[in-house]
Amino acid sequence: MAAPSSYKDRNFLAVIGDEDTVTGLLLAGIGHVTTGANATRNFLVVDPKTEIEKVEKAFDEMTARKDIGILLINQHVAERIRYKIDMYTAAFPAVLEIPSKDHPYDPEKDSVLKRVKKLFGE
Amino acid sequence: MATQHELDELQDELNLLIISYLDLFDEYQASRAELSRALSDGFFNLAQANFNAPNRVRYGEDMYDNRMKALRGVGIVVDENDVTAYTLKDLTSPPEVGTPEKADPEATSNLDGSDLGSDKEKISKSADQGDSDTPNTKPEGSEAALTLVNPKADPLRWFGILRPMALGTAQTNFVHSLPPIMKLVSTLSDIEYHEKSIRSLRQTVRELRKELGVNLIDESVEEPETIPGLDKLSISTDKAGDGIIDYDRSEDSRAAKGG
Amino acid sequence: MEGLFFNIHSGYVEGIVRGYRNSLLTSSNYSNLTQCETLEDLKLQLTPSYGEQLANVASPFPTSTIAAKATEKLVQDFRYLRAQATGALAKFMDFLTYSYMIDNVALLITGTLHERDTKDLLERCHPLGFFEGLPALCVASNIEELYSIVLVETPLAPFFKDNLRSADLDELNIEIVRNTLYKSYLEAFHEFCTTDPELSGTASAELMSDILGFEADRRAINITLNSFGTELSKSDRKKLYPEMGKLHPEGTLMLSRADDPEAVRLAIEIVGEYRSFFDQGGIGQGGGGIGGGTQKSLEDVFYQKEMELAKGTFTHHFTFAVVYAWLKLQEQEIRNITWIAECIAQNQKDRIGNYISVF
Repeated sequence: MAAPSSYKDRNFLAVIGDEDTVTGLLLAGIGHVTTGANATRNFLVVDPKTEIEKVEKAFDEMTARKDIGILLINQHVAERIRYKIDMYTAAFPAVLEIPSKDHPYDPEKDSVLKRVKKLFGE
Repeated sequence: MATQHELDELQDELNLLIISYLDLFDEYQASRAELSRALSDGFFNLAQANFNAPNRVRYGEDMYDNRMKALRGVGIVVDENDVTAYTLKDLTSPPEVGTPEKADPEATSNLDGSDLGSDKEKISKSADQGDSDTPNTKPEGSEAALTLVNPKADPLRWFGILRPMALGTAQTNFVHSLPPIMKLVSTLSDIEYHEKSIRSLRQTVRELRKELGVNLIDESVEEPETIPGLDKLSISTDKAGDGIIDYDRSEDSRAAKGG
Repeated sequence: MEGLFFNIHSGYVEGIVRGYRNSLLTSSNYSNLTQCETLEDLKLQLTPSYGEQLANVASPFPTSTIAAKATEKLVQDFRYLRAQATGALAKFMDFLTYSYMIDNVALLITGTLHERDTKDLLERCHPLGFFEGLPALCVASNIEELYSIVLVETPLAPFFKDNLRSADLDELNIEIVRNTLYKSYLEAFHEFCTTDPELSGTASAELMSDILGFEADRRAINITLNSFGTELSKSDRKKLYPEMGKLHPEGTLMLSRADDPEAVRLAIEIVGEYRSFFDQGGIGQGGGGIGGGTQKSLEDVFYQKEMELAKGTFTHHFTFAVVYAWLKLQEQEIRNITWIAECIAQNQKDRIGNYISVF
């Protein structure tokens, strides 16, 4: 059973996505920038020109933090670091893929739905 | 020494688990649909706001405020089976006194979307009351995590005081996207638990059947893979692109359909 | 008589502007754009207008890229014109750039308030609003410094006057600063158009007087509608209304007291020609939510009218007003294309027709 210490301080959401997704979620009040010299953000705006390394780095940093409970990531951005996400097994933070304005939710790419098939050997 | 009766009981238990597991998928689909709707409404209103913007501004990254502090977050509770429940939490309220371990009852009560007023309305009410630095009094019950108490902390302000109404509407849409997010991650945790349980129970059943020397082609014992109704389960693609899979379970009228 | 001498100095510019005007998108162009299924298609359809700028854009691209590239062309075209302009026309075109300068200053002040790196924001400034002192604003590490630099060294200095204090800058005060600057700017521009020796008594003066008057009215209405439910007080709001236009002074007085869209309507109706706008436009804000089909909001109706006024200037020769008109029409075109792009990207075709087209 997971010890409370591993999750009770995980109060923030985090988001890696395109500008409108991040703007929207920040409008919803989840954005947080820590005070001080090495301010950290719980969001990253990704556009087609953003280097993969930057996205990977943000993913690593956000999943390593102890104060984040859920990491949201646009499905189309997740595709660019699919191998990383597939290898992610930690219980916290939970990673959830969300649609963006020009990439609606695609159930074909949702690995969750494939689990039923796996379980019943279809 | 194992008995047929025990086997039957286990088999029943397994069936129930599987049905409950499939129900979770219904819930998952429904939450996905709700999330998609809230987000697409939000994106569209954001586009509308940009079209109506009075000052040639673009409502985006240029205007983010680096002083921002999270107003809404998540509360996590894990039960004895490692099933995790995520709930939307108002991060602006003062910390609980005396019960730091328990989840905050007010913030985790059901988040009834119909009680939502737009943040703008709430803000104008507090503004009219003349307090610019409202003390962090919590509104009751279901609205706790979905309304803002301190208008000065509202992210909407980053984009200017005079802004199109569509921007406020977009904010409401995005706030509405948070409860289904909570539901989705909670459901996922539940799904994982169910899978583990089903796999282990199946294993037990198999072993028990071996022990009883049950003939594999004996039709009085059902294979777990042929649960009644499962053969009617078909997962096809989401043709309408609305986030809902055409999910057909004839004995279940709650099948996620429409949009 | 100004027609006799206009062409000596400004004929070339007028000719170029008319060329620009002729390549603005028409209703049927827009119609084609709305048929596009993807942003790639849209980009292809825009090749005649923005081919050069869009040529190197790689797919996939965010919708904001289209506006950015189209703006590049607008800036290029404007700068070419400006380079040819002399005398009063040059001054006229400088006036056009002041509104962009106000936008840039507001962006930088907001960035400083938001503790952003103002050097990054400098890149986001509108090129037409660049002036020598602008990078210097980034050196300022707080609001005080920003304020004292801006006051002294910029073309915007005359617009600051004495109604701005540097204390306590927050989002509310920044909004007030921005709109007060713009009000002063409009009034100064109007004064220039009607009293400058080269312009006074000409068609330019008359046309610009009408156009700027209408813009003043439109701004007063927008400010009022957008202020409901915000912390902008009525007395503060009143100070933002330009002192010109048909609504001034009785209409603006009523607007300053308005509490809801209905009261706005009553204020507007005192001007005869505005009364008919309500038959076309719904009351209240445009795009408050999904739905409502293609019903035009009051704001859309006023924007439409402004565009028609702009189009109308081209029926006159020998006037500077066509430069102003072209600029406004071009900007609206960029907004329209962006809107269409968003509807395509988001697969929301219902309201794709909500752009404003006058050709």
